[in-house]
Amino acid sequence: MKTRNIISLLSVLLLSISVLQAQDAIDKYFEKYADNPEFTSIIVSSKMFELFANVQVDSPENSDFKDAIKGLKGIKILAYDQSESPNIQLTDFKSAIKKIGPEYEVLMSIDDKDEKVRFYILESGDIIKELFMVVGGNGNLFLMSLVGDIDLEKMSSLSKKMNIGGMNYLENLDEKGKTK
Amino acid sequence: MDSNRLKLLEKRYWAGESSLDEEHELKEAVRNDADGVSFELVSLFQEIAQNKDQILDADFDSDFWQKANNEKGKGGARIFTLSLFMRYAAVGIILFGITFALWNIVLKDEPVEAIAQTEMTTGDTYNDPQVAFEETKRALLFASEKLNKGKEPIKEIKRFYNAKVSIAGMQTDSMNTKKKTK
Repeated sequence: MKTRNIISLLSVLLLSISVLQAQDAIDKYFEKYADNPEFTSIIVSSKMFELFANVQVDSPENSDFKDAIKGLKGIKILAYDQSESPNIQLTDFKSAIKKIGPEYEVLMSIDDKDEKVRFYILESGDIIKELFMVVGGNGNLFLMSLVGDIDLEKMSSLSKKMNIGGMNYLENLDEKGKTK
Repeated sequence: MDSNRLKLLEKRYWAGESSLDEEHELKEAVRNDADGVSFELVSLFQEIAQNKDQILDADFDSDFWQKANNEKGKGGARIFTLSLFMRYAAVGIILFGITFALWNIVLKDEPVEAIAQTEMTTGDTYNDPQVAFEETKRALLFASEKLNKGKEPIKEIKRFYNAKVSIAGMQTDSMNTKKKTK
């Protein structure tokens, strides 16, 4: 009985270690490219997410959004636009998705003429702890890691509820979040 | 029977030198209350005769194990066997391995200054929560739109399936109506 307890305890410990190791798929890219001026990097930490509670909401849409992001603990974004530096081939979609560990499960895959999108998830039990998104095409590469307790239903309903377009996000990203 | 012979036989019996025939002779003498046999020998033979027919009943095993288990908890020196040592050693090695792995994950061989620097470089991009809120909103909307884009083909398949089911239902209804009119 004692041995069985020890084995269960060790299994839990080993599982926690593997989860710790697996956290933040984007970290690998951040280590490599965050200081590269060709890349745009954005980090919104868990502390900042806590401060969102104090943000004044002036519309019901923002109130819905506030509700949707409950449970989220951070966002990391890394992106680059090849058209801005055509002579430098930093990395592409194919090599980006090769670096994703086996602990991540493919949630969705979209292959368009101009764009490829992959959604990966990292689960702990039945809860999605990380949503990792890779968008590539037309010389763009966009990586986003969303960490926390993620509700995909709430996520997908966001764009239906809110009229603000998110599709032009990549176009505006360069001016807003360029790394210095 | 000769009492002197019986005394001699008894002497040999107590000394453990008597043969089976001699013991048999002694038992016969005890059974017949012969003179020359000591009281001790009579008592012993009577007791043996009484206990001879005793058998273990069905409850013996359960009684025994109950008593044995009760005795177990009373303490006493635990024998440190090799298998016990191996068990402790295995647990020790595993705990050491876990500690080593955790140490590597947390520190990754970096000095404290390097960690502090990493903390700084991986800090927030925005200082203003309002700006960070707006940026997060745009990023999540982008992800949300892509998620919905990926869901579109699934919706189409679902719509096609529903249409197929309703057409199949209509066909069955019309066949039933035809049968009734005939």
